Amino acid sequence: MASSFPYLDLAIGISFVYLLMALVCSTVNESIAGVINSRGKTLEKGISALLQDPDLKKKFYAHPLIQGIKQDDDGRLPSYIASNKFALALMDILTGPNASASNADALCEGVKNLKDEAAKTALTAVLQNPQFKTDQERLEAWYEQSMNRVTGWYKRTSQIRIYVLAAAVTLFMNADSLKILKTLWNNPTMSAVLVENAKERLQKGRPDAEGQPMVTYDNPDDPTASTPTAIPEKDVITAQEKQLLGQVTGWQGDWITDWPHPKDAGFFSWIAYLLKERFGGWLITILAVSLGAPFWFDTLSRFMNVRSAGKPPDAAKPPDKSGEKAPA
Amino acid sequence: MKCRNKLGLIGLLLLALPLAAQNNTVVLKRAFVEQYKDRATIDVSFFVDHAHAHPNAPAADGDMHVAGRAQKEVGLPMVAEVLNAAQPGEGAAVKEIHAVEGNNSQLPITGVWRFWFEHPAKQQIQFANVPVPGNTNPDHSFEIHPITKFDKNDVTGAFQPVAGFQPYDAATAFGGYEKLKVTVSATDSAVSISASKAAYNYAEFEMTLAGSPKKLADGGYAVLANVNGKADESIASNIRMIFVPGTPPLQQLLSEKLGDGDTMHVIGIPRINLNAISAFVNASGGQTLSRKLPYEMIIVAVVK
Repeated sequence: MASSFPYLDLAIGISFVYLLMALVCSTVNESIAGVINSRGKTLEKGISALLQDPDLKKKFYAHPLIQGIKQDDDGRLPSYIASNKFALALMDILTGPNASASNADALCEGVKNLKDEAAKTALTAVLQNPQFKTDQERLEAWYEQSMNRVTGWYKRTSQIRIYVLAAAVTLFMNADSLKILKTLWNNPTMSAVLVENAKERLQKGRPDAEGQPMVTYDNPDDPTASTPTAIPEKDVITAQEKQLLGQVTGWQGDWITDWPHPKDAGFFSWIAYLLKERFGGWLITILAVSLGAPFWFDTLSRFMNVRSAGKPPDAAKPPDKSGEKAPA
Repeated sequence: MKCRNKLGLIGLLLLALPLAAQNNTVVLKRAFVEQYKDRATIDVSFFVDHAHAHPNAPAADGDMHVAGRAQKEVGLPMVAEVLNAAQPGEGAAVKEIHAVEGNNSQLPITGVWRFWFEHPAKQQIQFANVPVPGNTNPDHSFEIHPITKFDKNDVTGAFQPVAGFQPYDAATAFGGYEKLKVTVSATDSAVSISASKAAYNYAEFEMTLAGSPKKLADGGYAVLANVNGKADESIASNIRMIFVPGTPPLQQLLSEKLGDGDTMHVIGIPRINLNAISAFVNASGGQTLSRKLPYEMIIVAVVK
């Protein structure tokens, strides 16, 4: 049976496809970030910018407090250093082996003895900050401020990787938005299946679940029986979702061996065909997927809410006139 | 498969790190979480190290702050507070607090356990060595607030509005609570809770009970309720409301047999909901995950 909401189902279908692709991209992105230790390297860049003195940075990373974190991170560059550890390690380095790390005089002397003028100037200014009571607090505040900048760097790098991944996934799947829309429009059954699967996906919760509650209390009479929600699954997308993606995307009919071509057409003609027929659709997909899974989850939710709120015109009941006043 | 899981886990851990960098962390024993998740109160042997000379002025909240230690039962830097301490009924407790202050002698106290990042430290680990506090308000994430019994002095009568004190209105307080985030992770024996600093200690609000009250192991009660806004809209839903044993709010809840659909106008203070934390970390298998902070309200007074 044809859907009562063909345009809405089309919007739900394409949003669902984008959501699944964005989920794949974000998972791959995080995996890459872990493998290349992107956070650790970004943090190191931030520490370099903060300390300015390469020798001081080398001593900092060699300090036992920081080495301890490195061991927790499988011997790689630490991806996170707490502000108190940063301050304590730095104070210990600057005060030297013969004085306590909290010795203010030894700390000042240590800063004065730094070879790098920029580092000396920066640390002198930080240690004179009257907002805080102790040198440790001053160094911690200095570090935390710079970490906000480091987080910004990481986000930017991550976003670039997302664009590249979105392009790679789009090309790999030949996910041409225009072709997908055409497939769904011509195949209402497929569109309906996507809508049903989108409903199930929405029940699994927002991919970026940061703002979601941890639990629900399903039995109003038992406030001790909480049900955990939004626990991430082991598999990013289900086998059924993978199968659906395969049905609306793919290289069938477009691959070099089976595209509609004259007999003498070669490789470059095929590339020209792809660019002419698919490039616009790919570009739309890449831009859409790079908006991220949370964006498409929210969009899908809105479309689904509209669909749930509306009633099919053919199923709408005639207005109940029993309560209407009779004309005078 | 194992490698993919590991990579996924690394990804999640890394995702949580920028948040953790701005947060305050308390690491609790899971056995402690399990023991107290469905209790209103805790019983401890308490060293009174420092106490305010006088209770706070009524306009400030009327509390009496005491900093001390309960190494065996709590094992964290902590304070304990007597509600409405300027009332004559609480005079004996206040007098005894001052009598034992700094004596290094332990006294039994009972009160509402409360985790809330109002005066947090960067990191505190439960049952690590707890230093003697240097003042009445050391950095802490744990409180016994309010105290219900100080040695032999029952102070449950203090659970009533503080004359001259204006709590935060519901929209402001719950608007703030609902925005709070938390990052949790767990091992077999410990759970780490990280959150940014929280505020809005006292909130006055009207609630509509969403179910029947359920008795807790220590004689307190918990009930789910929706918090109503000025136009009767719900501004927070299915919040656990904790009624403390022996207190006037609990007596009213039980004597009037209040339940689903009934309303109460109350004053409450928030605390982290350990019931939710426990259920979540048990299901998440120790992954580092960020979510909305689960909180519950300790009902400290009924507004007539």
